[in-house]
Amino acid sequence: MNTALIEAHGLQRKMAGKPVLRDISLNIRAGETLGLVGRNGAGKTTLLRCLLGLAFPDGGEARVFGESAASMSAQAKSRLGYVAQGGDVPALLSGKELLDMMEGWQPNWSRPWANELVQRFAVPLQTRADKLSGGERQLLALVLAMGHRPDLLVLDEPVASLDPVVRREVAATLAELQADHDTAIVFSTHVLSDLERLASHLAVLEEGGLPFLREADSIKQDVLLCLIAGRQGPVARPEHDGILSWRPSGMGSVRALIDTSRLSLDVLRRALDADIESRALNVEDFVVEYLQ
Amino acid sequence: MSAVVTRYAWWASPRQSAVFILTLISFLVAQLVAQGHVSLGSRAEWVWEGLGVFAAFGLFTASFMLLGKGLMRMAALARAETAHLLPDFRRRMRDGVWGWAALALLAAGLAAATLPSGTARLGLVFVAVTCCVGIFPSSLDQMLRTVRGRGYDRHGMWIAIPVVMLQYVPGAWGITLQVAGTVVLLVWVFRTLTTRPEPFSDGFRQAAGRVRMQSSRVGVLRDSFVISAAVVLACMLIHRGVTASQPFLAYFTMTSFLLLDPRGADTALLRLRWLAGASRMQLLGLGFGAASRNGLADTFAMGLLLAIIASFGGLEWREAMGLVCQFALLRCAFLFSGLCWVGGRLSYGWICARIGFHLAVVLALFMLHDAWQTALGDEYLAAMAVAASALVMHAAAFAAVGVWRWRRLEL
Repeated sequence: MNTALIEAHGLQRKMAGKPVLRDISLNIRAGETLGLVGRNGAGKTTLLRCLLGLAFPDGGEARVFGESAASMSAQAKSRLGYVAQGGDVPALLSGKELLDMMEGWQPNWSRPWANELVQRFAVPLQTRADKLSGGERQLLALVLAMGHRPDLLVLDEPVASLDPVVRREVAATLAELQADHDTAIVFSTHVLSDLERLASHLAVLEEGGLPFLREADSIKQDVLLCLIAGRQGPVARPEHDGILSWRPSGMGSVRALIDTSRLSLDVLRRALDADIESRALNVEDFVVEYLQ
Repeated sequence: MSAVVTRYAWWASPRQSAVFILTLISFLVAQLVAQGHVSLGSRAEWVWEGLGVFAAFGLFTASFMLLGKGLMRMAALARAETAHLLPDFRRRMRDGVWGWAALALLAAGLAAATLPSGTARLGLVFVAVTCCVGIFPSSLDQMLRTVRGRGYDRHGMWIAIPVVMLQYVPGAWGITLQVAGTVVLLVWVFRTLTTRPEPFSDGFRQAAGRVRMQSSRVGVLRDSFVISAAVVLACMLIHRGVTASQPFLAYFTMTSFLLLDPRGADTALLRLRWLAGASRMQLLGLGFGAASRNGLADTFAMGLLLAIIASFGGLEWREAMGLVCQFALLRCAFLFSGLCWVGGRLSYGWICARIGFHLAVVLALFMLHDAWQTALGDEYLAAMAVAASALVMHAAAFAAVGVWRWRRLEL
């Protein structure tokens, strides 16, 4: 049975008395890639840190490889790779020193693979980490996170500072790692093209909650963007979990995201007595529409 | 051997380790020569003696570079969120701290075994204080804050103060107490490192801001006054005479501090621990160090404190006030010369150049002091004359360097 590599049950977290995570539950299995999106301040980084035990939740539980995230064993940590937001690499050590250190510290570290990653991403190794540019530091962080071919890779906005060429290279490398080793990947991003390229699952974080989590393919198949115009005037939003978003679009019409696997357009058309124009969406368009 | 180094000294930079080993070898050779195990003729015995002392200071400097940098590297690793997800990270940090402490004690032990007792004691205290609130306060603070998941922590300072005071306890008891104090400090650091209520507090980035704020001048001044008060108290309780090596030691340790920690203002005032029983030359040495790195207000405040503390050692108020003026003058000279310094940065070449430059300056000052005292027949006037000479020397040297760099930039 394909068990969850990382899972969360009812995660809650408050910061300065304000809820940042509200009852988040998810699980990721080997070979899956979860793309996490949300507006700035939605709680993406907090969620990832709670999932890894870097921040303690106020409620609920996070487990990694079946162990509590707060007290992961060395064995579990040796199967894990993590890139923090902004490429949080220890300062004062050069890339070479860090790679040497990882070779001694990570039991599964593969020097040839790490060297290949360095070549692919063109990471300068002789420069101290704190002297690298933001993009170079992020690439070094990726090498350090991937050099031991982890079973689980958690990436917090891993490509935010990268140019388009190297971003594509990183995406290809992640895909290769996943294909060869069945690695599970969880990543947060604002670069929506990466979602399309990498994510098998998409999660949208909104005000600390996780209102949307499903397979990326099902979005293309089932979710339609609908322009709804009431025949008798403006239409009110009906209560139905097949309606993913609903917002006025001017002239009395409404733009809505409809999950057609739960609510057929014919049923909606009849219920609202409205004309409905619809079109399919790719993942990128869906996220933009959903977050607006 | 390799496994031991990998486990306990992973924090050591290869380049600084090489410098440390070379210096250690030089130190041992110099000691063998100085103690007569290797005979090189008695023609210039004092030269070898001097070289022995110089090698000892070299060892101090190399140790502090290695240990200080190592501490910074450990702190950098502890600060990085990703590092906490490395397998056995806490054990490795713990091993690293033990290795670091062992090397620190080794360096102090060598000093204790070979240098005069006063210096040895100071060496032990130096290591102990370095461990806690010494030359790398911000790094240590950040490391501890990170590991403890809390804000700024100054408990170490309160442990360090009695250890600082212990240097004034004479004889074997003094050394024993200092070793015990050092162990207490190390245990405190170790316990702090191994306590992890939460790796990163909620306001991690805000906390960084708080640390910067608390490391500011106000905080340093406040703490320095507390430490100074402790030193004054110790001085009043047990006053000790000046040993021959103390002026050199004060100067070199000061220089090492300043070279290793460019943000000298953070720690300059903590160095007042040497001042009980300090000679006028020591004070001048400290003044040069302070003036070369710190702000005018710091320097002036330091001069004032020096004068107050030194007055317990028998300095007259006239001399004390003169000292304050000298400090302010020195700082003005450095401010002026600093204007000529374009784009200076800390590098090995720069450190060596500064060590050489300061060595030349301090030797010249000693010679000048003797010459002025003979000529003027008054120790106070001689000290003033030395200060004036030093001011001119520093200003001229820095102006020359500044002009040279300016012209290079022009090219």
